[in-house]
Amino acid sequence: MPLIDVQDVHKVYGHRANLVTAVAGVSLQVLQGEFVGIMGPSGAGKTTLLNLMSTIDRPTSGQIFLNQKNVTYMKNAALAKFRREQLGFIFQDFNLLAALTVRENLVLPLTLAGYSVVAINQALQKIVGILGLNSLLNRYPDDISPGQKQRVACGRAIITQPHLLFADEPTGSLDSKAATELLRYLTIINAKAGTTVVMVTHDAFTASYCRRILFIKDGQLFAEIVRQGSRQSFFQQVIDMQATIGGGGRTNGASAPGF
Amino acid sequence: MVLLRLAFKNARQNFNRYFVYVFACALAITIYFAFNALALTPYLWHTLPDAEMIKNGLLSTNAFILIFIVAFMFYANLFFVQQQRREIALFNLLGVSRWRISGYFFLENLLLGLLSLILGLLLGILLAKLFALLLVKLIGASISVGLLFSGAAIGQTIGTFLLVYIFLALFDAGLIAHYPLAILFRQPVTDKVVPITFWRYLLGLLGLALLASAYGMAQFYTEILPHFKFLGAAAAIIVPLLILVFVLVGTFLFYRFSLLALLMQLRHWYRFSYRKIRLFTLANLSQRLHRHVNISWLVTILAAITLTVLGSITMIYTASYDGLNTDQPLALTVDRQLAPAVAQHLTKHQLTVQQKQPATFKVTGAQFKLDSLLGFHYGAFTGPLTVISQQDYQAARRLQPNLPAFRLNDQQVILLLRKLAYAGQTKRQQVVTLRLTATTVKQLKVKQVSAAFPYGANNYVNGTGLVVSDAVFQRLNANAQTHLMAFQFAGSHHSEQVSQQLIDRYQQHYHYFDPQKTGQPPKNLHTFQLSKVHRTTAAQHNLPMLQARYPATRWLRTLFGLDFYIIGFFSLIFIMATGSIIMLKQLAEASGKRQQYALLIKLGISQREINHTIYLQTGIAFLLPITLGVINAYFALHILNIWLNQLDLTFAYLLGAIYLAVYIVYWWLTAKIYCRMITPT
Ligand SMILES: Nc1ncnc2c1ncn2[C@@H]1O[C@H](COP(=O)(O)OP(=O)(O)O)[C@@H](O)[C@H]1O
Ligand SMILES: [Mg+2]
Repeated sequence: MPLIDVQDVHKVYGHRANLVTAVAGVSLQVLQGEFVGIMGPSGAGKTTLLNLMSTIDRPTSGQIFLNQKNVTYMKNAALAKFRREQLGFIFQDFNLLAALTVRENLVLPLTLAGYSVVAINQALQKIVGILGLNSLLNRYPDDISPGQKQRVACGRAIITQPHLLFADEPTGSLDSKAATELLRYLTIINAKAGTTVVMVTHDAFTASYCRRILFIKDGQLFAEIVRQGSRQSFFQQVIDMQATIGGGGRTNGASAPGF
Repeated sequence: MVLLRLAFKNARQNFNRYFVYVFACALAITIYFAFNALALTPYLWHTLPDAEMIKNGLLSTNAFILIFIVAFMFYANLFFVQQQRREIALFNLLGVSRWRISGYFFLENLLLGLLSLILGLLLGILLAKLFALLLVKLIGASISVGLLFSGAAIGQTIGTFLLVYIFLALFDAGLIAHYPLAILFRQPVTDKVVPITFWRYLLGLLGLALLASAYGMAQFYTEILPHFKFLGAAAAIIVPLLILVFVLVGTFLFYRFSLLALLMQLRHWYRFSYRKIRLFTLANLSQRLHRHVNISWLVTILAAITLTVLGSITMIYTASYDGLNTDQPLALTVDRQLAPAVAQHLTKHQLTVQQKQPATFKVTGAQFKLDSLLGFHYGAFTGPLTVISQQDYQAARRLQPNLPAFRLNDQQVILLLRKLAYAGQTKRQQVVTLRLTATTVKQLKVKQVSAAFPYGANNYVNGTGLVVSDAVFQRLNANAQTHLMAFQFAGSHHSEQVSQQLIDRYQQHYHYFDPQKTGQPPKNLHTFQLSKVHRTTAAQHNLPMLQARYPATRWLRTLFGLDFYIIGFFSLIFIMATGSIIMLKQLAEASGKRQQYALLIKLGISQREINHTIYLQTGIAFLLPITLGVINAYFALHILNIWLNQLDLTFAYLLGAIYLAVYIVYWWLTAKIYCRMITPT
């Protein structure tokens, strides 16, 4: 049984005069515990697809099932609850709340879900231990480095122990060292906690951490590759596929550090 | 002209933002113009004796209004320029010269100004009659208001505001031309987090302590005043002044530090803050309120001042009215020699006298000692006073049903004190002995002290009198004796006019009581008619031979009607201006916060909860300052009430309710627009 089941989904933006088809008939499945990447050139519709899968946006046509539940027509309030309890998000620009301290940013999803103070503090200790955020708890997002920010965002995403973690270009604003560190954490979360991860990226190095990569172009599935050997060889495969698709894929992939 | 078109287009696009500003300006201009039109339309008031007072009142208020509007406009414009500095910087980088951008702002400003001027004037011309009717009603005059169209007022208003707008536009343009590019590009301060340091906590505590002690001192004013005895009589000035300073500083510290510390404490109180989006609400609130420190302070203080002034005016009004009831409860009191002529005059003008009552007064020297509650109002009395018999007192009760009844024996007197009416109660029950200078009656015991004067305190020398038994009155060989005739008739515009005529005719007629030596009990008082030559002599004790009630009621009514009118409209301008500023400040940050709220949606917060937190945040930003203002006003009035002793807060409550209502409308509007602005399309 797939955890995510996308069936012939379309997404069209704009009004009659100028319609933009961002996603044009995509079908895909993601199984429990997978680490899936979505790649493609800029403007291919990656973010749109991710937003559709993560219930942030609604498809123009087609169906989406999450954990066998049809979320396509669910009411907003029910969707909000679903997101709160089942999903985690990481964004390129971190999306931390500047007015809140690191601690407050981390516990926010738990307070929203109505956990007790004791439970919240336990979960916080655990996450802080995993991500090494202890010294940052009372700082504000503006006072810490991008790498640290993304670790906080990651902590916020996984503190509720979601089934599904969506990440949109999570390494896009990070230097290579911070990026590697974050990807290591994501791998650990995927492997140890069994959290399913769906990650959008256009960076080959980042993508090489995935187990399976879907390539989309012009809103449609273009190709799919699955990692079999080492990450080094998988990285090479990704680069080749990007060359095949063409168009602005290798912006920071070439500068990837050694393995 | 390209620049003009661009300015026009931008003004139209930003209309949402400018709407509130233009509306507030237009309304202020409407009021300004209407006041002008009322003051500069001579036919309206020329039948009233107090025309000058009305005219001057309106015109001098207009000067204040103008100052306030200009301050508001400058503040709003400073704000607009700050809001648009990114655009300015961008234009500048794209190669548009600073002076061109300035020119463009200049034009935009002028356009907005002209728009509000035209709107305000049109509204003013339409509503001028309504403004006049309201004033006529408030001062209780009988004037028919025709069409109000004053060319002078229109010209004056246009001239004034054109000048203001040109200055404003130049100011803006200059500001932009001299902004360093680096400052233009600097991160707007709005997103900065304000860290709470130890000193800020301390200052926050100090703010709370100042407010608390100010409120405490105000509440227990009479109790604490004796502790400041070492300051002497000045204590009555210094202590309220101290309270005022405490409130001013305390309020500022409260907004600047206490609120931040308080919100921070709440955030650290996990049992409270770890619920739903409270963390977010608290954090945002502290940022928001921190941006509003100055305007919140201003709103609080201005609200407190206007409410206090209004409240104290009501107090003074009630006190004055009570004073008039004490001084001149009857329509006319005249000396017996003038009575026939006066009666004739009344008949001639078809005034029906409902009641007539003669009375006899004796004047004698007296000495007594009396302590008041506050200690410094009256102490020892030495001087002449007026004596009336119980028989005449009883007769007066038919005209003044409110006079209390009592029985007296030959040793007892009722002491009548004018000061009692406004200085509050005497100190508990005290045995007071009176010594008289009369040889036949030397000593009397005060049975009761009262401020209820038969025939009115105006007819008593020194505003002090005695009611004695008929036998004592007979025996008393006084220094002087006068006979009085009281006329009672109903108040109306006609009786007001007739009374005024009588006053004008007989204002030179006085009883004149001449003491031998200042400070000594007067020995030989005599009475005579004051000739024109003597009028300016500063006689020690004199009483007019004719006194009337209704001209005084008219004057009081006009004065206070005018005051309410002026304060009412001034408050309206103040509340609109500050409400607009708070609204603009909040909406300005809305677009920048869109991402935050989008994030909350992604994290699984429903739109309803988000709207809820927005209503809460904007609500606090609006209602906190006005509430604190009301609280401050309450304590100020509490102190004033101790002095004036006549607390009638109906109008103050009404104005407070209007403030609240207007702010609630602003709140609702702001929250609604804010919600729309942050909702992703
Ligand atoms: N809210 C929107 N309104 C209109 N067009 C949009 C919107 N979001 C995305 N698009 C368009 O849809 C296409 C895909 O965008 P996106 O999914 O963001 O691409 P990617 O993330 O792959 O770079 C782009 O052409 C973009 O212009
Ligand atoms: Mg994208």
